[in-house]
Amino acid sequence: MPTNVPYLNTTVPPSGGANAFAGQGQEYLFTLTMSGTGGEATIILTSQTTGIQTQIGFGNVTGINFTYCLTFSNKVYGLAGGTVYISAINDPTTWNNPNALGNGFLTLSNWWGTPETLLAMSPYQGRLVFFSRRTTQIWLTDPNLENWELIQVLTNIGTLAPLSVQALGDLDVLFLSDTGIRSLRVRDNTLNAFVTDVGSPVDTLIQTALLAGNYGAACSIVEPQENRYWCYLNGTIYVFSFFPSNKISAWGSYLPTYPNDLTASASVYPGGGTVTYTTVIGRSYFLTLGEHDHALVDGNNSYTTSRSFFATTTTMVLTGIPTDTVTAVLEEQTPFVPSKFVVYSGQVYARDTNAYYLYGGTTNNQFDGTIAVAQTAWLDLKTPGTRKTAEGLDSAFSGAWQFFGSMDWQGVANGASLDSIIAQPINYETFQLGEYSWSSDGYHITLKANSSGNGPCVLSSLVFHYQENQEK
Amino acid sequence: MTSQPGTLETFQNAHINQGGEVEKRKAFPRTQIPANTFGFQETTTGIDVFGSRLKAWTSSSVTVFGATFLVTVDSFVNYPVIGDSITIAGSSQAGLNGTFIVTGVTGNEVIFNNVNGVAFGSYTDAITLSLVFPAPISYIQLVNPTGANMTGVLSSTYFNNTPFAVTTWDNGDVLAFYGTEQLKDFTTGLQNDITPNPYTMAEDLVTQINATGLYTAAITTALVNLTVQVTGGSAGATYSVDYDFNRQVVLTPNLTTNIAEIAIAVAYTTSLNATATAIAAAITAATDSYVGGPGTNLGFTAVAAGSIITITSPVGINAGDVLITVVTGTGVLYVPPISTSFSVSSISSQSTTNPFSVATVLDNIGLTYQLVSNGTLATAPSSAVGQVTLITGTSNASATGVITVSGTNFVPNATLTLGGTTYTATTVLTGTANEFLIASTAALTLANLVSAINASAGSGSTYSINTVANTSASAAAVSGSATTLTATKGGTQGNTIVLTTTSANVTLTPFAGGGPDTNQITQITVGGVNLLAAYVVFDGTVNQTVNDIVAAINAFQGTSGYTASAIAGVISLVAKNTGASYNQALISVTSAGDVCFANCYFLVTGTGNISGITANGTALMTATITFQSSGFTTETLAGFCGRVVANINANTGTSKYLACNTGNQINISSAIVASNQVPVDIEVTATMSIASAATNALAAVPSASTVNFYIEAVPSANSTILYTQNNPNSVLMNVTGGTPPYKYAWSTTAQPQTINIVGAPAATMPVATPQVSSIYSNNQWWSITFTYRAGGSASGTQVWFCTVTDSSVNSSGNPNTVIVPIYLTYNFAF
Repeated sequence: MPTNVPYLNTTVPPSGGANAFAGQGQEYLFTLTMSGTGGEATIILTSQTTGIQTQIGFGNVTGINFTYCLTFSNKVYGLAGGTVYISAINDPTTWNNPNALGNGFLTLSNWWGTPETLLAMSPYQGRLVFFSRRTTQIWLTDPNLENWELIQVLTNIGTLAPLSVQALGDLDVLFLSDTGIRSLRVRDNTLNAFVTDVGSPVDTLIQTALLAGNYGAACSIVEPQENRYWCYLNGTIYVFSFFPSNKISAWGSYLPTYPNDLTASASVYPGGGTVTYTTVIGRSYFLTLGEHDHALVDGNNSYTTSRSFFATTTTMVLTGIPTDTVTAVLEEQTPFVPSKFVVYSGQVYARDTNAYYLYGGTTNNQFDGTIAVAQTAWLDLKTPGTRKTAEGLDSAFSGAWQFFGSMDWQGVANGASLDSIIAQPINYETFQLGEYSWSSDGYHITLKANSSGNGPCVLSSLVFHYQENQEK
Repeated sequence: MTSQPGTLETFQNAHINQGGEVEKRKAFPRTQIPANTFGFQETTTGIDVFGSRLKAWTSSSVTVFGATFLVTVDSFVNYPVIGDSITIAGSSQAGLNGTFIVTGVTGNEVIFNNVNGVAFGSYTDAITLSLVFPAPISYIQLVNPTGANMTGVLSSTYFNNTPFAVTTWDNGDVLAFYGTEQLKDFTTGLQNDITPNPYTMAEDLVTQINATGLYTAAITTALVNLTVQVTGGSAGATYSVDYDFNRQVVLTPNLTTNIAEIAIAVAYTTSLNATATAIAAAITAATDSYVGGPGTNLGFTAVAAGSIITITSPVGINAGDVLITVVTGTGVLYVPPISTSFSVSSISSQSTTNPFSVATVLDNIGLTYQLVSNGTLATAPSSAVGQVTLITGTSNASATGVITVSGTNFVPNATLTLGGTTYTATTVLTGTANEFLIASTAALTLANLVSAINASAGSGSTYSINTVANTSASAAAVSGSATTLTATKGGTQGNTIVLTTTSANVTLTPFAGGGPDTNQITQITVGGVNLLAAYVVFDGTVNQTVNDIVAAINAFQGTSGYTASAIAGVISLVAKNTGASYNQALISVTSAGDVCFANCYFLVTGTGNISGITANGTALMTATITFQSSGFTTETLAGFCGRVVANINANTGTSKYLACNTGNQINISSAIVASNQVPVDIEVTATMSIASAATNALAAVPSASTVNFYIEAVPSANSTILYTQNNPNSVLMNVTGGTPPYKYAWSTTAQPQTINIVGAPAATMPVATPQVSSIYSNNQWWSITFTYRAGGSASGTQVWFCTVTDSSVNSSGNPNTVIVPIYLTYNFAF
């Protein structure tokens, strides 16, 4: 009888291997219903383990179109309607994230009774100032929107042109308002803009320009070399020079024009020896005559030397040597319309549709043939009842200038021209060389100086010599 | 001017300088910028302008006509425009390279003046055309996803060296960009569809949710319920309800268009409700009215409840595919679908369900939500573990070498190298390892060397105290003037043991005679993958051999993908890659000679013979072996068993079985032990006394990959493999390490059994689900009871799991835990 012996197979096949199971998160079922034809839905999912919030759907800026944006204190701010929107700190791509620090919005129209659309904003003395058309709000900001503090509301003052708002450093903001150019600093301190505001001297001009409309396109810049405030409005750049230490606070204006060399009707004088230019009455031109050229005729004026002048006709005739090339250059000051100014590398750039204009050119010291004009009001010389007899004029200047004057205000008012005290532009001063004589008399006087040439021109002094007669 | 303020009435093209003088302004020289660009944003490096037009083109076709040349650009939109300044490069004609002004554009044909007088002809150069932007202007090309063209910049600013611009487009879009990135925050969530409805809104929300990467969402159903409410009308008025939807193929396979339409016209009857009922009936009966359509019913069903008509679309048509218009004769009223649903779930990490809470902000939209299901925890992957057990074996013959000395004694500093150890003769022991003392004669000095090799008696007196036994060989006592060295490990590997000397009085006989390597583990495979690069010989003891096998497997793991570890004779084979796909892979162990992996043995006593041994009927022996208990060839039982084993192993090629003996115990094993091997019935036919011994249950295998402390769990010495009906057997859990006391939780995936805790306090624990014991200390006995039904037979292996938890608190705030699988093999015959 065989004996059975147990036999144990000792191999055990592998077991216990398991695949990773990622787990299954909590699941919610959402049901959307809509009773109308539209609406907004925002869903915020908050992780209970990390606290991270995920916002789905309609966010702070969904569908919002900023009309103005500004970088301030490591965030980007945007204005739309009566609300300011703020990006996350150091992340201008994030506006809707409840986890990101700083992003959100604040409806400023809720802080003043009359809701208005916010148009512009600017840093101001460490704060942010928000401009509407007729209200200005000054806010002390904080990374936490809950901590924003409304410092001041200035009523009946605001801006109508977003790009006209310019900060002068951090202490002042200039802007174009309905009544003229205003300084926020003055308003803030005195709440009285009418007699002390820097823009008062040009209020009449500005208000007149505003009547032409299109004021929303006004734009401004602070020229960095001497910190002049420029404000373009309907064809004119108003320039504010402010040098407190020299007690200078003065307005001037620039016409936005660029030097444009016109092309003559022919490049070679024909047999008649004349070519023509198409010009625009009232624009300034600078003529440079060459060796083949005789004279340029502008209506009743004939110019035989290089000079600047204002056109009086639409066709100018240049005479020269027949069959020779035209060597004259006629530079027109052609207008452009700035849509925005920027400062880059210490110079002002202006843009219009398909070009930019660099103030001062690449050397920042480029001049052209534009004509600077300075004319006094009718002055009574503090003796309005005394008839005066003109004797002459002394002046100190650099460059070339031509001087005009009149003591017949009534005649000028009726269309008479000013007297040319000097027939041609001169390029020397008179104190050393003797005054220019001028014979005229009257009770009031106006003087006018026009620059000439395509170089720099500075008018330092103008002295009117006259004899007082008996009092009326 | 020496005048009072207000003196000047006209002041043009001049300003007052700091000296109070009138100063003419500077010039504004003009520089052209390419057309169709917008904005003006200063940056640190220049001034940016923006636009959607291209700024570069390619072309391979240039034709020179004489005064002009024409370039055909590859683009199909956004060509250059007249007045553009273009730089051309790459032409083979030098005169065509350079910067030119565009003088004409016709389609994608761009005309330039041939200012350099290039000869007439057509050229197929690969050229590039680049729009010129004068310094310091830089062009930022922005893209509207719809392909619209930019019309302006509302406002811009500059942040972190990158422009931020709000732009307008000719399709009415207003888009914000940071650099060239369109800011999605301004558009995400917007639906510009003129007929928004909950379904499209849900689609949009689902897209947004999935874009977060933190949550997933999906529309829950394709079946859409639509409701039309008839709210007015008067007798004689006519209502019509039109449905336009994207055709599904199953509905109109014969149509060539993908738009289908059904239209009904119902006259107002006696009341709103009656009219609604009529409309519902008409909708249900409506067929495709599309011209050329098949005229079949399209599967919409409608039911009126009062004045409310609920329309159900066929399965497969989504709300977004359906447009409903209700025409009352005076206008068209769009009625959107009432509702749709979508689900949102969090994506859990490896260690948490990551639940979330929901908050909503709603305006004119209703939204409800409900928790559908809680999350489930993630689990980490684990590796499959199998095992083989080496039961017994016999070493192969060891190699020997001889050291013989002449009559001349060793001189100081003479050396002898054995394996990796060099021994140095010395007159004074310095304590440096492996020194042996020069005695009075060469033979006595050789004896000291023998002591040093064996690290036997004499440490510190005849050889240095820091000397340990040589790992390669042992030395026999000096016989005459020689000693025989025997390799520690049996087999041919001993033939290569290094044996050299610098001593002139020594003659060496190199190691030889080791092997052959008859007794070997030829290969171990898992799922057909070899775990050994070469065979492993049986190495003296089971434990040492198992260690050699483990080392060989681990050395080959880069190729095999398996690692090994061992406790006693049990080798655990662990897949390096995790996953369930490794489970139940076939394990196969091939051995030769006196190496047994199956556990089968019997004891031989008495006198007589063994006439045959069979395994499942296969004869393992080729002759009857008779025990020579007396006479000239008297032998011991061990010698007898050795002859039986030799007979079996000589027949291995035929029988596929091998054997090994230890004294009067004979072990039998298949030459190839595989995990899928059928049960083996061993029968021994003998006149001698044959005692079949119980076989130990398999050793438990700790799951080493999960232990933070070491737990050794071994079966008890007297637990048995042969479980019979209602016969409890025991396993000893010998736990070390961690922080006692321990808790034990037993479970099994096998059919419910009963486990008895032997010891105080005694208890019985059902194991249908994991059961936790009371706290016990180490060396815990566990009694396992099978309760199979009576009758029949059964055999196989069950896996039981004992989860052992200590009393520590680790860095995760939890105690240490190890799961120990216990493999119990049973063979019932009842």
